[in-house]
Amino acid sequence: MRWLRSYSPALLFGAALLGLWEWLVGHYDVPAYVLPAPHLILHAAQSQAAELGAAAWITIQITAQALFWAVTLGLGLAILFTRARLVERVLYPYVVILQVTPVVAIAPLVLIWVGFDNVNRALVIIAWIVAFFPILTNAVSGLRAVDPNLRDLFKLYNATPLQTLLKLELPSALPQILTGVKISGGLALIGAIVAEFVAGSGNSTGLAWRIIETGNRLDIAGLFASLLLLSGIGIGLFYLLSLAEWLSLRKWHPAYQKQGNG
Amino acid sequence: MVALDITNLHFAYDDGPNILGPINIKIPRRGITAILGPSGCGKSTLLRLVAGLRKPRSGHITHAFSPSELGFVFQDPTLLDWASVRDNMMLPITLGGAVSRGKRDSGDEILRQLGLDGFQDYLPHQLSGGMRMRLSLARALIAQPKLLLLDEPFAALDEIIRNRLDEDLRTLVTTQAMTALFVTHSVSESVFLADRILVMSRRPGVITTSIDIDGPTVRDINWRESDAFRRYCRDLFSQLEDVS
Repeated sequence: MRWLRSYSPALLFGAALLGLWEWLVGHYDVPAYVLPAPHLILHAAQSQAAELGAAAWITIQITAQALFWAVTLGLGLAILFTRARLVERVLYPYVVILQVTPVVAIAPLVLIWVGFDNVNRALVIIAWIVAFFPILTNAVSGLRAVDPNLRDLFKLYNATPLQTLLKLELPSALPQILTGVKISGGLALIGAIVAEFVAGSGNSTGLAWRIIETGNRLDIAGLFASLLLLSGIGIGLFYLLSLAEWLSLRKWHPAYQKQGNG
Repeated sequence: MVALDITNLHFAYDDGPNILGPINIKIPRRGITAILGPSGCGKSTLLRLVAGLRKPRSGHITHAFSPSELGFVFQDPTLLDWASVRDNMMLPITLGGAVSRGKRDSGDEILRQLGLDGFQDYLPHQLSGGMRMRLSLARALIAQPKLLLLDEPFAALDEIIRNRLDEDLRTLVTTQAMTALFVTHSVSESVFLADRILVMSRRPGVITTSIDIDGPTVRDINWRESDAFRRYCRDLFSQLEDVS
């Protein structure tokens, strides 16, 4: 019931908007190749369900792989940066260059270098480039923000570097790392779509290719159906990562707790 | 018998001016020595130097005990928010290896002594401020330290809880024949707890006076209300005014 109470205003607003859209399109006789009515989009989604499902599955796989590598390499690099300042000084400028260069400019190169025999690998790399930076920066700042007294405590009790990492730094940085993962989840999806746009058709035809293809055929209802599915994947991913965050932090993090008895 | 021998100790951050020293003191074994001084005089820095957490600019600290025989209680509880009361307390043991059944039992005993029995599986945020500080003390005691270093551990607590914890601490240190070095800026707390009080001046912090407290071994409200207690407090207030 609480869920319904908190989301019902947004759901009601969405329903009203759809109603208005349906009425406006019918009233002004707007052609379906410009703006299809919501019921036509629903119909397109139903009739193209198999193709859409297959395309969505490919996009989801690329997004998930890109996010996996973003978490693994972002976190690994963050641990390395916080251990060896020299490594950070050497690599960080290049990481920033990679981040600030628009991915659409790099994507063709990646496709040429690694996408000839395996286009999926190129798509994952392009999506990874977009996704990994928030995890890296959040993890670095989280690992560095450990309470200095706790650091002193671990030093006092002769903790090994591995013990300090596993028992102090990673749990302490977990809230920031998970925030980074949440941001990167959305970016991995954006990266996957951008990569698919650049790659065009091929073995892997995800939702981006469906959008291009339906657009070329002026099947705007089909295009909207793909967009709808894409939004659904984005929302699902966000809530899945939010759930992982809640499960990891709900027992101890102040954001999820009432404070003690004073 | 000397627990700590500090000779010509100086401390500064990088190339900055001396903020501490010269310090020349000998801390006797057993009992509580309080370091009393105005805020910012370098009391906590001195404690960290003794613990080996800071490097001195010059001078020597000679310990009668090994580093593994040191316990440290910080100004804040300094707990792992994600770990239970038991896991927080056992941290010094788990960092040193596996937790034996005997250590687990002695941990439960320490929790009982400090009024935390039954809270083993609680998380720090579920405890009151006083209980969190008791847990911090329990963690320092689990490793059975010979030298206990305390950095204004009860400063943030209200007076009633603070007085109760002072009594508990005094009992623990005397019954377990420990040596404790207690940093505080509270005159009454230092007179209540300590067998000897060292007064520190403003920066650069140096020890200006050493006063032996001739009080009972077991201290309670009677000691707090005695004429001798008030006399010591008066003397120390005037000493502090001179150095502030």
